[in-house]
Amino acid sequence: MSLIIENLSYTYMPGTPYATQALDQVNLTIKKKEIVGLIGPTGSGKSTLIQHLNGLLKPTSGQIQIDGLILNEAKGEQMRQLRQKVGLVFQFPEEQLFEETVFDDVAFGPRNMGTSEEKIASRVRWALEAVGLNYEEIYRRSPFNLSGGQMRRVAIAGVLAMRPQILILDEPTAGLDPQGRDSLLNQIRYLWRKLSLTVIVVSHHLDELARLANRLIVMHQGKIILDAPPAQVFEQAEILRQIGLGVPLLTDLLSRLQEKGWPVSLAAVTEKEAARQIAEYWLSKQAESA
Amino acid sequence: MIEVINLSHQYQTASGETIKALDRVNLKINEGEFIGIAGRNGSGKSTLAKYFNALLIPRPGEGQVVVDGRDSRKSELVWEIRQRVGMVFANPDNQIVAPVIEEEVAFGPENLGIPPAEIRHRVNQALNQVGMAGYEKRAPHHLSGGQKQRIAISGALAMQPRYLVLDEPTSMLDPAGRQEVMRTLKQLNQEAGMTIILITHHMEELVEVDRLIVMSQGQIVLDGPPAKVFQETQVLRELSLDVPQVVKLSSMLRQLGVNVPWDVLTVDDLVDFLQPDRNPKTGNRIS
Amino acid sequence: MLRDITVGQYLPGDSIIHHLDPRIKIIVTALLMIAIFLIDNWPGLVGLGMLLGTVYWLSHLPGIMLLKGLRPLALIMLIALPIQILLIPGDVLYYLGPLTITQQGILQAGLLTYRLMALVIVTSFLTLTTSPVALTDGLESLMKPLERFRVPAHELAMMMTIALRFIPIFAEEAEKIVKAQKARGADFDSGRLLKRMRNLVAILVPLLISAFRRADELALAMEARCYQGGKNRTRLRQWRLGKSDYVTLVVGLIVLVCSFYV
Repeated sequence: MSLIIENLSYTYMPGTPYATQALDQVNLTIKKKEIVGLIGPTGSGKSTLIQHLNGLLKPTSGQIQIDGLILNEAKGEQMRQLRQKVGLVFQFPEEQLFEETVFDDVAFGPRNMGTSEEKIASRVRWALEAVGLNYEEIYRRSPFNLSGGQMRRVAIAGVLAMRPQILILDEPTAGLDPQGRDSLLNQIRYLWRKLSLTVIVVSHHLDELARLANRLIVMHQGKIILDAPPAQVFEQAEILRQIGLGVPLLTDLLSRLQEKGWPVSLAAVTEKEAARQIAEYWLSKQAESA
Repeated sequence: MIEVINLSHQYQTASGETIKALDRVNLKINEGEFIGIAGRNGSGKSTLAKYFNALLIPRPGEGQVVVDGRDSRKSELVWEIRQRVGMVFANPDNQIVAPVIEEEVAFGPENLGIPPAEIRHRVNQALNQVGMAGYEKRAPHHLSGGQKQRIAISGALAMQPRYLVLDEPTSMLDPAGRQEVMRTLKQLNQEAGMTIILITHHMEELVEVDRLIVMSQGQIVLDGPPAKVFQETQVLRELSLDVPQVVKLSSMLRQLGVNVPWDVLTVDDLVDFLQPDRNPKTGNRIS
Repeated sequence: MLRDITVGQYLPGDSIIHHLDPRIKIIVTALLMIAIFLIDNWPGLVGLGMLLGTVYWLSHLPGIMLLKGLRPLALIMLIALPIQILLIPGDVLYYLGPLTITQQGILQAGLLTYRLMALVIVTSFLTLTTSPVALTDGLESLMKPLERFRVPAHELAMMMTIALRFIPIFAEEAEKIVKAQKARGADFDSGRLLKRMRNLVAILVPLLISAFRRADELALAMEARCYQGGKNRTRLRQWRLGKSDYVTLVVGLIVLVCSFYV
């Protein structure tokens, strides 16, 4: 399931004094089974972009193709099928829970799709287990009596239960504590591997995305300005600083050492790699002076 | 000084289980300190925060909280304590009352019955302190998260408190907003001498506090300067608390044979240690 | 981009009308509304028209905004006018089958139109030139004397203030929840009524839950800032009556008195 975006532009409230161009000639291709991080400062257009991917917003110009189907022309049944293929998990998705039981809430999507009840039962079980919850323990409970982290997983299961082929998550870790964050990121990585999904994760946190994704897309003022593997994006520390995204701490450290003449590479994404580089040069210097 | 003496807090869950949110906590907070309180969700840190300004009051036999000599169990002192201890909460949207910023900042002083001219003066001062002067007539919902949180801080400052307690003030913010808030707090502490009690689960924010308190299961398990606390890697790991990235990196470097000292907590510290700017002739550091 | 919505229809401006004390504006609006219903002769109607014209000129409001306010009136008129014209007895001008059009009927209909339009225009002057916040302030201060009769003036005003603050937040939140449920296949635009009602629950329940949570947190935050109700509370903004306020009040009173005698 490939996703092709061509010359996509979008203007909010066109023709009014409030008109703002949120997307400006965006071109992007995401292949099947990729895991992509989408990052940009607030207002860079990343939320607007993902809302286009399942038809919640209609492009002002340009087009979106999913598996050969052109999204902006889809209507009725076709639109429903497309929405089913592209699962969108909003920021703080636990805020959209509303049913009396976890089971019913997860079943909401499939029921809207007209799935049969027997199929729904197995899908709900599957989805809850896929997000790392114990089905037997949880399915009869009220979603409102769960912990924050559990509620979020139930909400993600609610999208997974529609069996999407592309899963998009907007700031999935917002507001979680560090343990909750790490375990959810691992779960997403697991979903990607295990279910052969195409995954797009939107975040403000470069470090987080670097650990998760194999490809990073950086947006700024409605445009894509960088599109590369994490290590290469980190090498562009100057650009990241300029657009106000901030630089990951390791990159900041390495770039400052580099300025002082250290032969280190900004491409180090993990602490281990950074430590190795620093130690190597440090020890060689020590040996020299000794 | 805020004194917490033998403070306990229990409650029952829906399933009838008794939970000790606080378990005989003893703590002294001196004026002028910048204190960080860390702990996992459910460690009792937010409950403790509500005791500092008498939003919660110790029940008989469950200890006491004394703010500048005022015991919060005496109901006539509650309002005085709340005026002395300003509070900022996690969600900026749910603590801003008024649809216009100057009125929002004025809300506290208005409640204290302060004369209008004095309120005006305090509003100006408080907005200045958080760098939001010029926004008086704007509407809060047009601001960014970081700006809203700064308005919430200035609303607390307008009551002229001696202590400022912030309960996870950055948990809903993006990295830029987080930085804004941290910068504001540091400035308030250093320039205005405000006592700051910052509750957070972001360990990165805690490298700059004077004193770091780690809580678990309603008890204080670590209390000291951050450089000391971060040495307790064993304890922190058991509590599955994150360690700041520089601390993590430093311990890896130590393993690789680079003798990074323990008080290296920030990128600045580490760069300084690895590559001090020495004057090549004298060998002295250029300051 | 619902964050750009504003509550009410306030158009910020710098005119003399904008700067009037909101209490005076509320009182004079009330006086004029009474006058509008009392006046029933030509000199009075012309005088009133001239007064409204003067206010319009002083307020620097774009005329289009006033006309917009009149639009909903058209529907009411469409129903009310034929009834007036056809049912009021008097000197017959035309016969329409069993119905008659009378001179009195036409005059009455004309007067009704004039009065309704004047009413809308007068209230538009108030809402277009006064911010909702100032309006709330004005109402609170006018209702203050009623507190002796257990009218909760302060509480009502506080409720309005909080409503003004949270309406944009809820609008944004509702938009987000609608989108989130749409992404789960909910269809709010078509389908059978029953299904559509069910889908509405999917929006209302999350909105209600969030409203309660926000109310809880807000109450705590207000308590933390020593809120104890209206007693002993002072206000940042003090409205002091100026010369133009007195002039406006006197004009309003004169109009009312005249409308009794003209």
